[in-house]
Formats: sequence, C-alpha cells, structure tokens
Amino acid sequence: MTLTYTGCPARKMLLSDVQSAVSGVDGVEECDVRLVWSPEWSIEFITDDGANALEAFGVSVP
Amino acid sequence: MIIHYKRPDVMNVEEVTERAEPRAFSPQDDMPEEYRKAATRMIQFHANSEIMGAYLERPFIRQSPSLDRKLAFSAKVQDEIGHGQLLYRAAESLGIKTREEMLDELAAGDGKFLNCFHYPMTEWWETPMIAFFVDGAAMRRQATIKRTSWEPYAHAMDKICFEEGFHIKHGEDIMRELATGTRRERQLLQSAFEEWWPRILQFFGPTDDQSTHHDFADRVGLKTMSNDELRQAFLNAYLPKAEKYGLEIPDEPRIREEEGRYVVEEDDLDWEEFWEIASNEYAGSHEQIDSRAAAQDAVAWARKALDRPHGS
Amino acid sequence: MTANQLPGPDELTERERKTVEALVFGLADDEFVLAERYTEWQVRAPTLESDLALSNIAQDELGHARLWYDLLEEFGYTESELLFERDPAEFTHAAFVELPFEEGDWADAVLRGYLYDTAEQLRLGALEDASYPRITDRIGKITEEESYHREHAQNWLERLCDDPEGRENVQAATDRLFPHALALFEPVDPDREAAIQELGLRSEPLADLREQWCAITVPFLDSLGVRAPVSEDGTLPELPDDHGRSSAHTGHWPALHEELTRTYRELDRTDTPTITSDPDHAQ
Repeated sequence: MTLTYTGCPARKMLLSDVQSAVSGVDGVEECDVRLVWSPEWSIEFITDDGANALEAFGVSVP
Repeated sequence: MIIHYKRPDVMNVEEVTERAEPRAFSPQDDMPEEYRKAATRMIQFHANSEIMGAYLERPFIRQSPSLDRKLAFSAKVQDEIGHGQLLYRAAESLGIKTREEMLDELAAGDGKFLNCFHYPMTEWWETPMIAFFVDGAAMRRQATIKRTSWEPYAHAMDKICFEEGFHIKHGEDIMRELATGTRRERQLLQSAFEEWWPRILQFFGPTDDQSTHHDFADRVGLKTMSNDELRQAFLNAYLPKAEKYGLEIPDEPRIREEEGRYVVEEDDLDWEEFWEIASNEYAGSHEQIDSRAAAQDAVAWARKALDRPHGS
Repeated sequence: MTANQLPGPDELTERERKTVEALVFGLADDEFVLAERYTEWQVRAPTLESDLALSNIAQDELGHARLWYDLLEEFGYTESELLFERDPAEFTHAAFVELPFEEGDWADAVLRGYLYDTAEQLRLGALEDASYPRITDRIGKITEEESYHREHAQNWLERLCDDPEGRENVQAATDRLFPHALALFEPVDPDREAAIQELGLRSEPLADLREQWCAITVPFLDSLGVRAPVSEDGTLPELPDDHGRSSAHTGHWPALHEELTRTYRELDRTDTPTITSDPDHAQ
C-alpha cells in the first residue's frame, strides 16, 4: 500500500487497519502489509467507491 | 473590507426565532443585527480558541518523544490553524467584523478564548489534558454546532469534527501510553490530571442561570444544547474513560450522582479565577496573549510587504 | 544502470552498507533538523495562510526524514538510536539547517526554504538513477512534494523584495545564510563520498551540483535586487568553520538536540532493545 503524503500522521494506524482488515478475510492465513512509495499516489488511484465515500463527506473528486 | 448592502427586508427577531432550525440561515438572508452580533461573538470565540490552542500545543511538536508523535502533533497544530482560518471566514460572513479586526482584537488582548488555553502547559504528561479531555469536551459542543442555525458555521463544523476525531484518538493514545507506563509516568499523569480537572469541569462555563448570552443564542437556534446538558454528556463519557486509564478523580470538586445525572458542586470550583480568565485578566492570559502579540508584531513588516500592490 | 544494481539491505557488503548509510544519514538529518526550525514558525508566521504553508512544509520535511530513517532502520538501527540517543556531534546535517533566527525574521524562513529546496531538487535529481533501489523508489514522491515548497518560497521572496524594507531583510538573510548553505554540498567524509560515486549511488559529484545551484540561486536573487556574497569572478565565500557535515556543528545544535530529546529523557524511554548494544554495558 501507499500513502497520499509522506508526512501522514496516521501511518501506523492505517497500516494496522489494513493488516487487520485483510487478515479478517475468509481464507487468508497470513498477511504482510508493505508500504511502497513508487508508484506515487495520485488522484486517479481513487476508486468509484472511494469517490462516492468522499462525496458523501463533502469532498468532490475531479 | 466588508460591503454592507442595505436591503429593506431585514428579518426581525421574532421571525428568526420562528424560522430557527439547523442550518436555516445563510449570507443570502438578511439577519437582524442582534443575531449577527451574537453569532459573531460565538464563532469568533471559537476561532480564537483554535489559534490559542495551537499556540499552546506547538512546543510539543519539538518535545515529542518519537517521530510518529512529532508528526501527529505537527499535523494537529496545522489542523487547528486551519480550523481558525475556516471559522474566521464563517464569522466574517456575518458582516460584523473582518478577520483582520478579529485577529487584531486577539493580539490586543480583547479577543476571548477558552479558559483552558489561558494556563501554561510545559510538560509532555500534561498534553492529554488538552488533547484528550479538553478536545473531548470541545467535541461534545462542536457536534451540537453541526445543527446551529448559521449555515456557514455548521458547514465549517463538518470538516472540523472529522479532524478532531483524529486528534482525540491521538490524545487518548498518549494517555494510554503514560497510563500503562512506569510507576513514575502514572504518577506524573495523575498529578497533571489533578491540576487540570477543575479547569476541564469549568470548560462548559457556569450553570445555565448564570450564563448571560445563552437565552438569545438558544432562541435563534445558534446554540442547541445548554452548558449543563453538554457537561452531563461529557461527564457521562469521560468519567468512565478517566477511570479506565487508572486516574483517580479528585475529591474536590465534589461530583454527586443523582438519578443517573452528575451534579458538580459548583462552590468547589474557583469562579473568581474563571471570570478573571474570561476577561483576559489572569496572569497566564497575559503571558499567552502578550507573547503571541509580540510574535505578531515582529512579522508586521512582512505583512506590510504583502499588502503592497504587486509589482509597484 | 541495472548491471551495477546493489542488492537489498540484508545482502550488502560492509563497505556498500556504510556508503549507503553515509549518504542517507546526510539526507535524513538535513530534513529532520530543518523541520525542527520550521515548526517554530507555526502560529507565528505573518498570516494564517503562511502559518499553514509553513506547517505543511514542516510536515513534509518530517515525512521525508522518516522515509530516509526508515532505510536506516532496515540496517538494524532503532529510532531511539537514530534520533534520541545519538550523540549530537554525530549528526551529519549541514549547520545551515540548525541555525536559529531572530523572532519575526520571516526573510530567514523563506530564503532558507528557497536555498534548501533548490539544493534538494538538484540533489534528488542526481539520485534518480541510484544503484540502490530503496533510494530511487522514494525520489519521485519526495520531489513532487518539494516542488510546492520551492514555489512558496519564491513567491514570498518576490513579494518581500518588492518592498524596500523587505528587500533589506532578504539581503541580510542572504549575507548570513548563503555561506552556510554551501555546506549542503559538502561531503560527510571524502572517502565515503568517493565510494558514493564509485558505487553509482549519486550520478554527479557534489561540486557539480553546487555549481548548478549557484547558477540558479545567484541570478534569481540578483533579479530581486539582492546580491549573493559571490565575487565578480564567481569566487564563492569561504565555508564557515562550524558548518556541520564533516566539521563541527554550531553551539545551537546541542542546545536544540537537548530540547528535542527532553521528554524522551525525562520519561526514561531508554529501554528499547538495541541490536548493537555494547557488550561492556551488559550485566
């Protein structure tokens, strides 16, 4: 996974959230989350679901 | 600069009272001056508090005992400045004062802000008192402001409450770390709690009958919950949390439980100090306000350069 | 370039590892200490907007420092060893980033940012093809964030220099900071520096980067009516004695280090297990 920006203060929390979400999926025995910086995150990475969730929060995705 | 358009169809207070509901009014409505002044007072207080809170917490970016904490504190201070900016804009939309005027008032010692931000904070183990308890108390109040009648204020609160959620998590995390740390860490946390607890209880101000501005603000839908109700909600949530982290609630001020409600013995709290603070006359107030004013003065030259028309 | 690619952190030879370390420590320490100074501006900048911009920039620099320190942690260092228990004299940042400033000296903040970010752009550019993939995969992200910093600093310098008093203050900051900024292109250790190039970590020598940096910064400042302390024939000012890197730091650094490790020491957070514990200290 990656983060939107390098200084993200929620890094630990997001990593562990992803770790536990993936670990909780049926059939997953082991999970190792790796943080990568390349490719760099960009707005195109936002999925339709993500865009809808942001929209509901009041942020429009161009 | 604010341009006042005079229009004949200014609402009167009765009409405002009748129509008052969450997010009912916006800059398109011609609000009576009484409403605009009351809303300005409320929002300006809120904006000032964000700035002074940021001012109080900034040194802890440096004092953070880990890089992650440093990033979290730095992000928090940044968010608070952003909240201040957002709120001054919401206050400006009422047409009473410009942001410049409000910032000048704050520097001059005429701007009011939260009682807790008048006290000095120097040690790391004090930080959860603000970042967990005071922010938690603020969160109670802010959540109700999402339903205030001045739409720009309610709208600002959507973003602010979302970010505050992270701040409180961060504050709770620092507290958990200290509360599960060495004996010494637990002692330091407890002594900080004892010092800050009465101030935290005073966060919501005096009980309703003593509150001067409440009636009107309540009638026109600016406020949706009384101080006392807010304090109830806060105590319901945070007394158990304090106990969960092994904090002993000080004997004074006495808090009685009556029919599922907490009753704080108001006489046990120092209201003289509270009112001194409310009028910016407390010793700590001078220190916070004056040092910030000096910092603002020192960069006045840069603001002047900025005001110069570009390319002249 | 792929022919000379270095392996992952666990498979480097001792010499390769030490070379990567020398490079990364310099990058990390510069960002870390610069951010510390920037944070002093939060709630003290000329406007709320500049407060936010500086806060943002400080956050980015701390984020970059963390990205570089992460690489050092892959070599087994703990964060405690890297930041809180390291002897301040062993930090390898240029003293340029540790210098304090007078209250309200906003010219210092924006000029420091401009000089640093211009150097950073060149330095990162020369690492784009580095033989150690753990370095190259971070460059794009950091470069992207830095470009906003440069823009911010340049805009402010232009605005300040439009004003006579502002220009005077920028000139004073230039006289003071420019000689120190040259240390950003000083090696930490000449032998390690030779190895950095030999192993294909950095594509250009530091001296060339410094030349490019001067070719950008001197004319830009000149266009604002500010003179960099460089003589007509291009001779650069002498490096200050305590310029950091391989030389000593100024007295301001131990004082800053003392402040930023204060809570850590007071809470006695020293029980983190270390992999390089000194056997002499074992019970």
